[in-house]
Amino acid sequence: VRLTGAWDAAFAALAEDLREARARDQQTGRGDLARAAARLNADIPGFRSLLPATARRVANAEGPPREAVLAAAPEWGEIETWGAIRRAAGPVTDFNLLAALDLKRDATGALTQVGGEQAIFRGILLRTLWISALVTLACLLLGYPLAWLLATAPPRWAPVLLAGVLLPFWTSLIVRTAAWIVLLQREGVVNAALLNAGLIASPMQLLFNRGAVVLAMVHILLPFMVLPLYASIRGIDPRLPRAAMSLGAAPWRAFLRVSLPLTLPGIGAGCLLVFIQALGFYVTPALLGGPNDQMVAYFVGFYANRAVNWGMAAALSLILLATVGLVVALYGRLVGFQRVRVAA
Amino acid sequence: MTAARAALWAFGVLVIAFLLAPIAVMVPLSFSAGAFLYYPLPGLSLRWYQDFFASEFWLGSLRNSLAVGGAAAALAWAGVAHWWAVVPPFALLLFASALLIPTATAAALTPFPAAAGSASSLMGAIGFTAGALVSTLLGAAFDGTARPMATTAALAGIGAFAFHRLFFHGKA
Repeated sequence: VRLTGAWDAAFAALAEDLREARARDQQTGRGDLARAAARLNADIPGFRSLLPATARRVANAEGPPREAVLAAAPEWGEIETWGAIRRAAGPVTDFNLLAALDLKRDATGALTQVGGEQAIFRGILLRTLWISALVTLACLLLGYPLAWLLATAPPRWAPVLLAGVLLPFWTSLIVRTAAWIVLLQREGVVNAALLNAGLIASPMQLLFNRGAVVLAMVHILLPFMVLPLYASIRGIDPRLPRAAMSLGAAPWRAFLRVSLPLTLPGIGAGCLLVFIQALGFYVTPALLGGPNDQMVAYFVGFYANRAVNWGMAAALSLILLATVGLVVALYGRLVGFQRVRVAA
Repeated sequence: MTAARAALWAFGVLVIAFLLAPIAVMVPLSFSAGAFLYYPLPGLSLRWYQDFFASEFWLGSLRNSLAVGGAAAALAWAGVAHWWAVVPPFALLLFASALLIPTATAAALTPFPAAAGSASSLMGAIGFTAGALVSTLLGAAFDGTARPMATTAALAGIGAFAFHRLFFHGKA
């Protein structure tokens, strides 16, 4: 009986609040009701129309508030509808942060998984990590031999080669991304060359897929891998591998056991620089990727610019930032920041 | 030259070709007679350069970015409410930063190869933190004009210059 009384009070309060908000909106044109409805709609789709419709019908209704509200919209008979209001009540909420991890609170406040088509964010985060890892690995495999060549080339050629690495470094990211469109589009340079060589019969779809995104990201981030590697290879004392070889090690063995371990800090630095920057990539996947190649930054942009849901954009940014922090902490754990002392 | 050395050269030159090819592809396109980023070129022409040098829009910005430079803050404070008081100086600023920052990063890493990892994450952290602080201050000082932005940029530049004079002058 007491519970029924509490519910009656809740319905009465809702009806009263809705009437008041509607009257105020009509007087001042502020649109508070629409703002509240938009926020609740982010929690339960359908609230955008449910709240104004209930307010409109309740405004002219007679009789006990509970019956009036339920007659206006039967959704108010479900506990989840009230749960959305409770979740949006305070000045502080974990709603967006949980949503960015495909979690939500039910009406009792317990954590539950978001189901079905709304559960996308964990997949996007994993995809972002996966693309970044792929790009980092490709940069390392391409960059290490190049850095070795730069560090050991004769003085006549070293500046020329270094200029070849630095020139794209100084070119705008957008220009380089656009250049990949020119190369990879259906009538692009690569397709034309393959057609002329007779290797393919019809143009291939090279753009708007994962391969194009990874290729362009490797192109853009490669200098960030090469430069720290170059610095650490230059730092090797040439007497050490020479000593290994004079003691009988084959050149490849001297490289694997002496030179490569000495360049580990450079490998760590390059991988960290490339991976962290890759995590935040936005323009390149947006221009070269398909719908399944977009990374977290794209959704930050989407929520900030198009959906005008800044809470969600901020929550996604925070999760991206936390991921970067985690990667840096992991690096400190595995490679160690104590090398600062070694150098000093 | 050993076989391994030759393979290293071949691989390195291929990777540099990969780095330069997209830029090489873009340069001839600026001479294209067509309006799309498309090969083969429908014809060679200087129309885009002509557009650039004939247009008050582009030429104005070019001239101003060459002439106005560091006067951004002064112009903004003087209340010049024209876009060219803001855009070209900032274009110059961003252009200069784009040239400076990667080079500075590489230069700063070179003497400390053993600490490169810590140094690069430290630089990233400082960049992030400074960005967060400056944008917070900017947001607080925002008055609907470009003044806070221009002032901050000018102060940061003066600060960097003073820092250099104080600590590094004659030592580098």
